[in-house]
Amino acid sequence: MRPSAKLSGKLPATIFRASALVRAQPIAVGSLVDLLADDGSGAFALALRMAADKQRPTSESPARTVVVVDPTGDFYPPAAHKAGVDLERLLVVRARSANAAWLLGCLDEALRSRAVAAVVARVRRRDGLDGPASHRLRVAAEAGGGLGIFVRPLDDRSAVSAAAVRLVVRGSASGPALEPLRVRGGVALESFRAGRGM
Amino acid sequence: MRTLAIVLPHLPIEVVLRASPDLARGGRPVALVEARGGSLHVVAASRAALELGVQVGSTHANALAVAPDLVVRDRLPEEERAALRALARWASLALSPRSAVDDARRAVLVDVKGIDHVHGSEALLLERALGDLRAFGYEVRGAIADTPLGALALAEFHRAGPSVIAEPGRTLEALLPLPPRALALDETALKRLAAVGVETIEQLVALPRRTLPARLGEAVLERLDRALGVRPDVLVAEPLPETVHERLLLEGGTDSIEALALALEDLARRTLAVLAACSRAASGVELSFLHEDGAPTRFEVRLASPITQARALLGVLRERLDRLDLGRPVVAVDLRVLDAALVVEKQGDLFSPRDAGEAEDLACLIGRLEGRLGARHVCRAELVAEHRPERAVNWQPADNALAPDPAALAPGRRPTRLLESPRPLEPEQVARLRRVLGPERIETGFWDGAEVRRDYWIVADEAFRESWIFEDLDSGRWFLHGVFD
Repeated sequence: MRPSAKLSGKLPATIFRASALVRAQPIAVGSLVDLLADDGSGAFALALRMAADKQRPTSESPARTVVVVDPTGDFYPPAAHKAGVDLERLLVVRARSANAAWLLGCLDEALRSRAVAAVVARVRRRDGLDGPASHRLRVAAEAGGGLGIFVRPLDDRSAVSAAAVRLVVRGSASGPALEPLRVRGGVALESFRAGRGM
Repeated sequence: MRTLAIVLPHLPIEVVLRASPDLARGGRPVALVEARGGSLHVVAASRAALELGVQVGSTHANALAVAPDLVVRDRLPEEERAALRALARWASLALSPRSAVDDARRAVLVDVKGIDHVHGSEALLLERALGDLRAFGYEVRGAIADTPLGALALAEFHRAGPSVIAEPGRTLEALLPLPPRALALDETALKRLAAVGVETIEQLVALPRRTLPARLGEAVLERLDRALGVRPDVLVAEPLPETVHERLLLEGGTDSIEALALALEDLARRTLAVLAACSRAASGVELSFLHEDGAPTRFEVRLASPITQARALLGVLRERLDRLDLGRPVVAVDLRVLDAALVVEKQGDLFSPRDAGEAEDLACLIGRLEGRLGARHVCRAELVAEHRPERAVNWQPADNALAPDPAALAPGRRPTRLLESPRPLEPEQVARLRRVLGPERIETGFWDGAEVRRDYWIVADEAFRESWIFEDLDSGRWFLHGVFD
């Protein structure tokens, strides 16, 4: 086992490997995670790996479903498979050009389901995931007991969010790197071997 | 032969109250009337009406004098017939396939010979049957005896309690204290028996047997012999409805979504209760909103997994209801089960109730999302053995189970987003990108007229943001095809 760094309320000014978040078990169930990133930074693949991790059966929970909400219709499932998501337990809610209400409704519905381990979505600026909407989704996640993982634009760094964990994801020569903005409840970030693997 | 008879003495009023739950919820006194001899007579009354002093058999006018707030309704004979058949259907699934109905006596008859051991004993079988029907909202009496007529007589007229069992070979003994009316004799015979002071079956069987046809008619001896098993008394099964079907009538019609949602709640609860009693769960239902005129508004809901929870089914139906443009008031709502699956409780961890609960929750989620968005927006992704990236995914309906093809997955990294159609890149744009991994040659499709010859590269910009681009080997042009978000 490689050494791990434990994050708590006071954040170390450290940039972590993205893969460190994959074993994100300590992230409270029934909560939200914001990954703030530019296009192409690998944040969505990271979200899929986190979802795959949540999906696996444990002694307390059977294998559950991952829901990808895709308001632009360009999500490519082979990447989910590469990230370890069981495609037999993957549900994709997709539209070509959906509006903000569509996205919010789908996220809310999926997060409320007890059958869902994680809901992954790319949330664009115009989707208007503001404070009240984020709070509503957190309540939904608490009701369902799953994890909502939202990949949001970097510009949303200052947006009001009910997410328990907010991380900036940036591309780097050795793969995505994480900069914690907020971590509630403590998240163990382990250093894994380098390599994207997806 | 052993027969279970279940009698529903208050079926007419129960059918009306089930069809109009507002009346039942409000606890209002309700009476059913029928025209007899030129005036209306009360033929059934709700508990609230009886408590106010309304009497079955009294005239409509008298009943109103006793209870001025009395709500008066007509009987719903077709609904009564349908309810009995639905209960016989339940009995055929939950108890024994040999089930029948007796409309005149408002009863369901079940041949239970040889099945008591399945339930532990006849007493447990009887207890379970009556318990289920009470859970459905019916007041019931029941009996088990050697003959259908004997069981019916005991169920309807036995005074010691709502249920009784005549031990095998002792049906006559059990019937002796009952009135002759228990044998469903005609009124003329009953009057003649009363005139000679015969008040029990015991007194009837004490009369000289050979004189009975002449004094009381052929039917009396025939009934008596059937009840006692001297003559064959068989269950005549008739075709039963294949599906569970529940209907609610809406007083005067309504287009209020809230009123309709309440109706759906009742229907979902009742329907699943009937299915649950048969160890079944709904996997497909049809909901119909009936209007005063014109065709009903109907829709079907197919579920990815069978649902047993009324709340879950209600969630799915409610989602559809919220998006329905009914246009006209609704006078009745019908819920019909199109498909039901057997719920098998298995031992061990592999198919634990927890897994079944997960499957049911997921089916509800799919149902609600499909209701909200339309079925084509809720999918499963099946990977197919196809090298062309744009053809590597076969989108399937969400309620289809996938059969993964191990050969389907391409070996290289794949982007999280694939553009609907590749976007051309200028050579100078390509020149600014750093090549991270590649080339991965994809050269295929010559047999179907959509041949591609491409070299794919994973490239990164100055901020290490990665994309998936390819060079078309025929034209030498470059295209952006995906993004590693």
